[in-house]
Amino acid sequence: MESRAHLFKPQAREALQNTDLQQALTRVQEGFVGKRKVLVDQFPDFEGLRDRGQAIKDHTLAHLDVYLEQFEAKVREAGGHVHWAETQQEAQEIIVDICRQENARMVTKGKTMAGEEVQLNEALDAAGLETVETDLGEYIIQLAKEPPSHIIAPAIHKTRQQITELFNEHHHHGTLKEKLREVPDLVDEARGILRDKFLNADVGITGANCLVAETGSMFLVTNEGNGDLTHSLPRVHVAIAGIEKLVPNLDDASTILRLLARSATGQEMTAYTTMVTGPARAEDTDGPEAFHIVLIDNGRTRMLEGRFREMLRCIRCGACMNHCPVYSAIGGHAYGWVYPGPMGSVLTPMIVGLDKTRDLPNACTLNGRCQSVCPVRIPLPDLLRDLREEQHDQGLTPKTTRYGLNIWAWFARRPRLYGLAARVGIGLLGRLGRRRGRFRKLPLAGAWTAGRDFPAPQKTTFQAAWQQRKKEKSA
Amino acid sequence: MSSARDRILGKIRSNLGRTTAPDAAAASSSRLAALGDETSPRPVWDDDDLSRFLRCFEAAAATWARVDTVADTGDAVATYLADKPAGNTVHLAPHPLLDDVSWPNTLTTARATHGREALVGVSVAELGVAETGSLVLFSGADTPTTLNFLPDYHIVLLRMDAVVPHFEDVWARMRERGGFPPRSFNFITGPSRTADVEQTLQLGAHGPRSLHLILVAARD
Amino acid sequence: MTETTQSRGTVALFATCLVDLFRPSVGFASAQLLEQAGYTVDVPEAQTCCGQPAYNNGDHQHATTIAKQVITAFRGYDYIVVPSGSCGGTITSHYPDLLRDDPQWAEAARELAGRTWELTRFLVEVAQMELTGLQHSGVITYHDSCSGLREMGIRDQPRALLGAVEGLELREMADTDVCCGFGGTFCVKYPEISERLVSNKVDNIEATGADTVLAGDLGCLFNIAGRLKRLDKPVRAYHVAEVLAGTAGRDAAIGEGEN
Repeated sequence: MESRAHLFKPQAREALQNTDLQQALTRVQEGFVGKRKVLVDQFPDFEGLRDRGQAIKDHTLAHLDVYLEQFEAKVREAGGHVHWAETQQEAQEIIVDICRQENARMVTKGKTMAGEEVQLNEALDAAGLETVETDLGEYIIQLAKEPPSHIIAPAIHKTRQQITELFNEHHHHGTLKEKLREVPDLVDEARGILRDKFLNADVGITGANCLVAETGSMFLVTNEGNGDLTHSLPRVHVAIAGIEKLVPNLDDASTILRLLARSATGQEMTAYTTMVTGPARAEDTDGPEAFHIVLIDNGRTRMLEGRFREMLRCIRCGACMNHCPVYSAIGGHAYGWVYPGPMGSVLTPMIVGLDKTRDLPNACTLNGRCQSVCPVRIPLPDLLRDLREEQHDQGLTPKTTRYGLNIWAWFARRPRLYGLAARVGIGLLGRLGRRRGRFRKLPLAGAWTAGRDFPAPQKTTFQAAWQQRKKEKSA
Repeated sequence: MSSARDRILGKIRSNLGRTTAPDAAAASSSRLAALGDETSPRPVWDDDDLSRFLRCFEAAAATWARVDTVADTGDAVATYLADKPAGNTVHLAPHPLLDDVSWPNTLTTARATHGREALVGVSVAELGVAETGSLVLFSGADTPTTLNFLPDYHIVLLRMDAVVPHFEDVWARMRERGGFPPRSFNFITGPSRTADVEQTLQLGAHGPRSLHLILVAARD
Repeated sequence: MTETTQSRGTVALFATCLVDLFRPSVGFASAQLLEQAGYTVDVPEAQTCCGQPAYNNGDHQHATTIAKQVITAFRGYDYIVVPSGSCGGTITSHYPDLLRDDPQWAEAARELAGRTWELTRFLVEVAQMELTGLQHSGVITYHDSCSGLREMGIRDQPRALLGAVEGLELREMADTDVCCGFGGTFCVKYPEISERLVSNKVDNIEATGADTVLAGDLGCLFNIAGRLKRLDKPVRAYHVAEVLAGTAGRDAAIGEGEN
């Protein structure tokens, strides 16, 4: 999707006023956060597991070229094809070409955030292919022509009522007298419609949760089983993954698996965790004839240099957004691109560009709850601060912020003047507000007083009063 | 013109500040230095592996029954299906173990090389993993992958002595087989499910609506 | 005020700009507690702000200048105590980061960080203070400020100290560890989002039935009290030091007028 991150403020405002969305968002907190906590508390050494996850990813990134070459060689040995895409356009061309060579008409897709990132659906549509998202959440938003609002629960912003209407419109041309309203009925209807697609697709496209250099394998983690039907039924399986998804070996993959489901959905293990290696073997009775994996750069190699390398540890679990109070208030769409919440507020500026995403690093209270749950210990608040520093250095900070900071800093660096000005100002403000104890409006404080009173200061500054006390004591 | 592959690897090398040629041996010893030779922190349990396995298996909304010998599987399957709208045809993976099953005449069996026609599928798990209650199925001549995902009712045989504690033990077993991993290596932990509608858990999203384990006690 | 015969050391109180400007009673309450615990308290005159607004807005140049100013002003004291997890965290976590590559200042920044404590943690872990004879009747709830909780490990300390106050019942609110929406300049850069977060916080506070909300950071407290007052809620807001020093009854609560 094209980035709408530059419209963050109006989008956030709209989200705050959208009652359906607000109702849907309360469920993120109730579901994921609580379930994760139970499992983390049960695990004997979850902090040690996070340390190990971090160490594995740091090590892999420091030797990424070595492991990528190893991975490539192993995929080839297993009979698969490895493709490299530096940009969105290259990724689109590679996959459209594969589909054309296979004379494909219908493509089923498992949920892939890398695919969202390179606008794969748009490219497949443009090439005249029937493209069907098969993850129920992705299917729902495909019908609604919306981008995902969460990286593991893409339709979390949709209410049951909205899904009822979407299904009636798309499955029954709006003619259903008794609309499907209950969850089992909705799920069952989607199952029936998508089953037909699974059985008749020519190419199945999935993402990958983890790549293993040791064996040239990829892991696919789902609950619905749609990923497995997508990769095992069509003639051709195409996987798409960022180059940072790699780990050295299967033992390292174990660590990632232990972290991933617990952090993402609060499960010890999803219903289906599948390791795929190459195409079907000669003796296999089913499975695809061909296997392709498309490795995506799209800005990632740039992040290897310097402090943003840490962001490449991300395993896309979504825990940061589940625990983010800002995400919980505005949902994913307000962020304007594929990746929302804390991880998105770092990644989007890195991929889309800092000048087009000015709000993202700033729309965060730096409360640190995301970092405290990140399975690979990405210091998200620090990285957001680093992005703010880059914005500041590139002159991308709003003028009002810069002027304000300059005036404040001018005083803060001059304690005597600061003390004097504070005493005068506070004395005045204190006298004005003494009786009521607060202000409903104050000059220059409109942003504060729009939703809050401004508590009035006490009579004088602490410094002035303390000096006074000292004088009295020594007298 | 250089390929995307070379450009990407070139950027990785320059951005990592690499001055020497990449070296797999150095990477491997650096991995050891970073991680040590100990395994990942992992779940622990007080009772035996089988109990842990079954506890997790049940927690994932799957069911199980125990039989003494493989031959008894037929009756166990019939009992399981008795109250379900599953018809009386059972599609069997072409697994040699299933040759030893004696099927009651209430059930019709068919050998299946894929799952396209199966409402009830029976396959054989290679291993069970105690840490998560997962069944492990390797794709191959005797285990069609699609039979694990297309039936409404998925019934899986597992020998009681094939339960291993952790993921690492699964990799060890796989390495013993030599060569490449199978094309599709499935950890299955309960029936298919989704929470994509209002975070409400619903079983039977795209894969099996139910998962039933036949735990075989003795080795024949 | 009790004068102890022998001082356990000299504490420099970093009042923070918010306390200095808006709520001196928190500064006095902190000083009183430190003196009760047997320390000599000094308030270096050269202190203004810790520089966090600049640091968090990417203005490292100003943040660095101010960090150096603070380091200089607080040289030589046994301890630096801050009645704020947020400003404390800036000194202990971010100064060393900011000055990491400055050969002249890196060590000084680390050294200052090592001497700097958030007030309640200092009272519990360094002073090992046992409060006695304190009374405060009512039901309170405690908001964990994010920086205090995650940068300085403040959670049990204020609760332990409050446990010694007779007549006081502590009722935990839901999501006590979730941000109140203050976030420094965030609250004025994104006022609508901030308002939503503080409204959630106020709902959680109200649901406990507490008559008073306490916290260890004036930023959060101003935000919470401002929202409470805008909604005409009767819940009072105080800094935890004011209750521990026994001055909460004397001074009007945050945002409340003199009767």
